[in-house]
Amino acid sequence: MSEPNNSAAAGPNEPGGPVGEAGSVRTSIAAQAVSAGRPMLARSFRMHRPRGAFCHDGWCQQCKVTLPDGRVVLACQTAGDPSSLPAAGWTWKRVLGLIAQRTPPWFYEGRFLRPKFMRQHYLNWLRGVSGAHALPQRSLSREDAGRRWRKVAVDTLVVGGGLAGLAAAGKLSGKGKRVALVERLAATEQDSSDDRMRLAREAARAGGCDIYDGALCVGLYQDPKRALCVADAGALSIEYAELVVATGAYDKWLTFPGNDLPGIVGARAFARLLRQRAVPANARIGVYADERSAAAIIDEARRANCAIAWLAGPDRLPAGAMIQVPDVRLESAYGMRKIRGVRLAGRRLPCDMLVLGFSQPTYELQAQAGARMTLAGSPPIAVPVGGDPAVLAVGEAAGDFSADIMESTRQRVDAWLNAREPEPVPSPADHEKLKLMPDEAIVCPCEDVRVRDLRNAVEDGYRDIELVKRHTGAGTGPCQGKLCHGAMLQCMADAGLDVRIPTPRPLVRPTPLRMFLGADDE
Amino acid sequence: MNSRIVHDADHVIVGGGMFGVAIAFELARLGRKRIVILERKHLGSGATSRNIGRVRTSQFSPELAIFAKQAFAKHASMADELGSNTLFWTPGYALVFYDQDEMEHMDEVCAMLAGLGQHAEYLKNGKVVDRLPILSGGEPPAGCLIRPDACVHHDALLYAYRRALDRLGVEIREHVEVVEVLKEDGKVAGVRSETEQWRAPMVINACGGWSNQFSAMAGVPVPNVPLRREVLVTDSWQPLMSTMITFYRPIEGWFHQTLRGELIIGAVHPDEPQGMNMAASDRHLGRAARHMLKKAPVLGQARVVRQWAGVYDMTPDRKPMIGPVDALPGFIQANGDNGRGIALIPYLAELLAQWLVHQEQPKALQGFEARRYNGREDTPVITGDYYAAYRKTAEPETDASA
Repeated sequence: MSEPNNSAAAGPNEPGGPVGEAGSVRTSIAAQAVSAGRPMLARSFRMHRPRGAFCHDGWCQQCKVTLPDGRVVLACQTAGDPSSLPAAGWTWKRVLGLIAQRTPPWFYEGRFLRPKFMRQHYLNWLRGVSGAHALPQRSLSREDAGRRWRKVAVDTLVVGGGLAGLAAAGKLSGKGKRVALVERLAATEQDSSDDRMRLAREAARAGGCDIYDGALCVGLYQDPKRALCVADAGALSIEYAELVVATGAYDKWLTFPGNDLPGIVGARAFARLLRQRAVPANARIGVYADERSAAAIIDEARRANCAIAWLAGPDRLPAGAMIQVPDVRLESAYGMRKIRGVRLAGRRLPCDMLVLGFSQPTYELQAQAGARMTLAGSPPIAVPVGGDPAVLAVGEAAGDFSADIMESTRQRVDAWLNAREPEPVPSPADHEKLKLMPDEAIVCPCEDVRVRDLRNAVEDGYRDIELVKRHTGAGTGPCQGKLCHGAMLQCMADAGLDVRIPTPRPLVRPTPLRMFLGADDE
Repeated sequence: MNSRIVHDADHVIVGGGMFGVAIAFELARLGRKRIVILERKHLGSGATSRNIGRVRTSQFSPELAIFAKQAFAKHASMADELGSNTLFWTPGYALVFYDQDEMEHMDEVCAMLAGLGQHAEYLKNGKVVDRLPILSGGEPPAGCLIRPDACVHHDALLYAYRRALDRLGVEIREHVEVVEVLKEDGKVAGVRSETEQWRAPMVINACGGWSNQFSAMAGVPVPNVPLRREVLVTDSWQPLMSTMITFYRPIEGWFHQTLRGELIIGAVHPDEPQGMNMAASDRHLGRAARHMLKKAPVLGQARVVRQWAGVYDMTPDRKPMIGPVDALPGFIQANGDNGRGIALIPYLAELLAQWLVHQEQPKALQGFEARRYNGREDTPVITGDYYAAYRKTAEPETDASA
């Protein structure tokens, strides 16, 4: 039987161990790299372009590094020293990358056929030119060998232990039903200084809700309905009848030329960096955000005594910086190995870090549970429609960004319990300034696919998102579409095609195969 | 009938998967005109874009070994025939055994292959890991059989066919679901969807895992059953292996590294229930972790990015269902690939097109005739052990007439 709350065995902030956010002195490799003014950590898969962490939260997958001991990890999820990493300088691969930038994805499909006897050599050679890391030559550890799948059955499962998830769990528990909540962060990684969180946890627990910390829900499966979670100890399979998704929102990545430069981070990432004290005092911070996010960013920066150099947005803006540029389009970003500045309405504004303040509610679990995904707003956002009535999204995952998230969550849960349709949340904002999708912008950074590649694919007759995905590779990389789905949908909509995301598939995040050892039945 | 728009065609191919595009291509090359492919979703949406593209010649019976060799040669020439790179890659294919009993069977297989002039590398005990270092640290293998087999990129091949079909003027209609097979005087007269009709003297069933449903719709039942197979894929890594690996009985599983560097891994559940099921399962994750990491522990470090499932279109004797059916003239079967579709289809399609155009059955298709199940449409498909039907000892599953 499983024990709720068995937190991570390895403590945070051990070198090579997980990162603790709350009050930690040691920070992630990625945060230290930002702090040192060198946010570049990796090179991209096909074009070998410089990359750094955008999310600082483990989902964007752009900061994969090989540690000196051979392990391959996400720099934003691992404590350590970035100066110990091998330097990512100019190599022959970078030169190849420059050639690759001039070619469409899978360019060798129609080429590399002559002379015939060279074909196999071409293919064998092409295998080695990607930006992939070497697989660590490690056998299984004793810990791996001892893993067991734990199994639990509950009536209602809440995924996500933020304020919305805790409010939902509190509302649902204590009614004679078995309620469990899974939270991705281990207890030691959570911010214990937040009183609202602490009280909400206590309330949920008092109602009889089991809380599993450090368990990331990676997929939903049917017959019977099960959620598969991964914790340090291994897999945790939770059978449920009803599901509440409270997985929050992602920082929305925007589509403009230069959008993949290291030093471009999301608003949530910026807050995490501030909490890790990783934003250098002399760094020029540029912010491009919608009104609500801009206010939140200003607030976070003020609390951390961090100055914002300029503030721009597609819409109105709150006061918060010396230079304010409202109602403007972000045309492009420039820089070589990191961002140096942006162009706004023909004007150049320099910066060392660009914070993008827009949101994409998480949608993977809802899509896996059967919701249809469609497109809304600008920047383009993938939003679930319909789906299983036994699944309720709350909080930011439902697009609910209200100030009192706990109260509005309780109302949503109430409406759901009473079998009424939950209150609809306002649809995402539609910023005219963010409608344009420039050809040179990257849509899918995992596979280095640009807007132009998608448009060419559609023009070539791949007139279905499944075909575009397979033909260009967009959405097939390790982030599994979190960065690209919205922009892909926009391209499809622009071409007058069906708007839906490709078949949603588990897993929600890449997970080492060894973590799934120890299943007892087959 | 409310299907208002009426089209005329000579050949209607139902199913826009690999078999559909391949048969269309071969017919068009033989000069046939007015060919239309009707696909319910998008091109390749069934098994075609869910498979792993292995082109395998290691077969355990002389007929299949000869046929597979020809099919391999056809694949090798596809890039030239289609004018596009199909990413036909020959990393080799190893069948790995952990059981001494199986080795005796392999001695016979090797002798049989040698008799056909087909070479196989046959290694035993410690030599296996020297040749396949990816297995080091795992359970010691008893032996392996390696053939210089290939893998193609299923999408590259599919899209290469598609480009060729565009050039040849074959019409491809996606998102069209056929709801009825039209008949006149006991013969096929076409098909219709909810809104359109195609009048044609020939309808080809290239529906893969849905072929039994479509056959039933036409009133000509077949014994085919769909059977789920699951796959998972990891993120990309620098080249760490080339020879593709399949573990043979009693636990069937397989993995290889793709050209892009991803590891593709699958482990088969012997009790997988028959029927249409395209959902990935968490059980498969557990099963793949358990069985694959026991044999190749280094794979444990690779990160699983996504998992999915497709269906095999299984027949009782594990042989394809090809050609006309007696009960309904004009209705042509092109299905029953038993999970060997990508490997066999280009060659099967070439032969079937010759059959349809020249009205004479090619010798190579002997044993694959769809009409071999005439009157025995209810023959059960036994799916527990995939390879059982390939073995001489498994008489109950082997079709005596084939």
